Amino acid sequence: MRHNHLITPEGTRDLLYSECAMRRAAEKAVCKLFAAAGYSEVRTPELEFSDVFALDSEPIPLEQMYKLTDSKGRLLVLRPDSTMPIARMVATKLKSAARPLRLYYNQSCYRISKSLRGGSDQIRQVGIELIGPGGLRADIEVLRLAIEALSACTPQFKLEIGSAGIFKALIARLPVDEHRRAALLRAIESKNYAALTTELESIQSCTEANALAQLPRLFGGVDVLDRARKLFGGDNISEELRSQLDYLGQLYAALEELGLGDKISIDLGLVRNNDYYTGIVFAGYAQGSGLSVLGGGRYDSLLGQFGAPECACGFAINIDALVDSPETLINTPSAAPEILVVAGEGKELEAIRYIASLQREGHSAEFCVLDNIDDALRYAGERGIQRLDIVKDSVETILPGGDRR
Amino acid sequence: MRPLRIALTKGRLEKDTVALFETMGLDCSALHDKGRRLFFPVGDSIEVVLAKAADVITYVENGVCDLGVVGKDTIMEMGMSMYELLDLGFGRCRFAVAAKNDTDIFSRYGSVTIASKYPNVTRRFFESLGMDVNIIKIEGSVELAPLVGLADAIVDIVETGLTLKENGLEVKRDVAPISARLICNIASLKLRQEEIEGLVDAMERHLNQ
Repeated sequence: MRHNHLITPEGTRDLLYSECAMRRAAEKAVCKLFAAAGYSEVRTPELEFSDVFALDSEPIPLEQMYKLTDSKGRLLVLRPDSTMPIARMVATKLKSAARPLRLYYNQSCYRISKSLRGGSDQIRQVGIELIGPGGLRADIEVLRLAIEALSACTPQFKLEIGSAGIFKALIARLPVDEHRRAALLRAIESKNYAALTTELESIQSCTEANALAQLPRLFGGVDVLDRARKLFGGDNISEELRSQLDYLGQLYAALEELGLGDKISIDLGLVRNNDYYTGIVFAGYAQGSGLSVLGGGRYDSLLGQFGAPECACGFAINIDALVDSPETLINTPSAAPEILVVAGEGKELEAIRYIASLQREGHSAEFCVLDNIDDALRYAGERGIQRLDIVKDSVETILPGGDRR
Repeated sequence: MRPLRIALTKGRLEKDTVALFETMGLDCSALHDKGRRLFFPVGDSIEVVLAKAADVITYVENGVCDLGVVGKDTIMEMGMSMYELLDLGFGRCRFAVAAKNDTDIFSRYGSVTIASKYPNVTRRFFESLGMDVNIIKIEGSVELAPLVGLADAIVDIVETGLTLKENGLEVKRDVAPISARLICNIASLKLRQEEIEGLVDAMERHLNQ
């Protein structure tokens, strides 16, 4: 017996009319930006072998992936992320293509979100990957594009920038095992000062431990970097930490110079997927959306896991979250066509030719397939069509309210 | 922009939070005389909604509330992806394993059955011990389960241990301490940093007094 034939699986939904139109408009606006900056579109399959996502750093837990098997019993997953399939593609098909490679994608990702918590299991992502050279120029380009892309979709947002290397440099000098390291990461990521203090209690007080304890508080404007320098040892700051902070300062200054200073902030406690990212890491937050609407960073060790080590930096935008936000800048074009064309008795072909001519002139016109003029008028009223053209020997136009001309 | 919206867990955590707000000099009169309202203004820039514990997490996680006050027990059971900014110190109790006085579940070979309102907390705890247990979810009066023979032991919130004692049960092992936490939506903290940090600092200062 069928039970589920009238519903969609949890975490998925039908998209109707303006929901589709707005998504398409947002995707188009963002893709246009990427194409204009020299990026080329790629698509990867919806299905991939689960091995593609089984990296050492485990950026996506296996239990969050939709799994199935192929005809040989091998484990497949619905693409939970686009970056890893693209890394696979780059390490194989694009191995000898000219560098830098600039790629963009516009495709859905699938992840099993927590049940009954309002999350979505199918997420439309538009994003870029800049592969080949690393360094300041590449990072500025990627960050600038992230800000431009968000600006096209939402009026008020913040892009916060952190650095994966800072936590790594601090933790490297502390005597902690794998479990303690994971617990520290969790506490910093959730800005859980209480748990962080408890975790650090058993570690002898030193500059690194004290700095780690303050890491979640180090977010805000560029002054964060000065606070961090003091905390990380002042004049005795280690070479590595100093260069990490200076680098963030350079990026910040560059983006400020480009007039984007009000869109960015710094969060040194941004340690999400710390083993996956190797350099800058960033996230975008938009007014009206409780989730992060953009995520990205530099992952210079990713391609190495596909046998072709080289630098890579990129981000993905969550189109669904941006479009569903009440503050979105994406306009909804009217769903109804301008003109409903009704054919008089025996005038069907004339009407169709007339529609073609209207469409050539740039109008949207719909062929009325109802036989009766009263039905056509009622339908136009229901759909909100403002004009009816009746094709007889000549064309008669009716506007709502009964005006004829 | 709308006022900062805080979801409070109805009941004791709500009362303790209101008391804290009042020591901070915030006007909480709307929360003393609730009427049929659903939103309660507190001072000029805060708006309170009241919810059951699990819903506080859901509201804050989805960003419809910026902040929330909820017990660590609910956070541990539900899991969450947001910031946990403060240990508020009130609503203190603990998760514990309890059983009949003569039952020893930790050194026996056969399978062990645990009844709990908190199956996730229970599973994680016994996993960490490498123990394979059978978990049964119970909605209320968990103490009954070992007495009627449904389970060998329970995992539950223990405050004084008096209820356990009255029923011939005793705490066998502590699982985790619990207290009220101030949680915060990730996007809210980034977009309204000054307001939220101001409030959190003030709350922290008055907690320590």
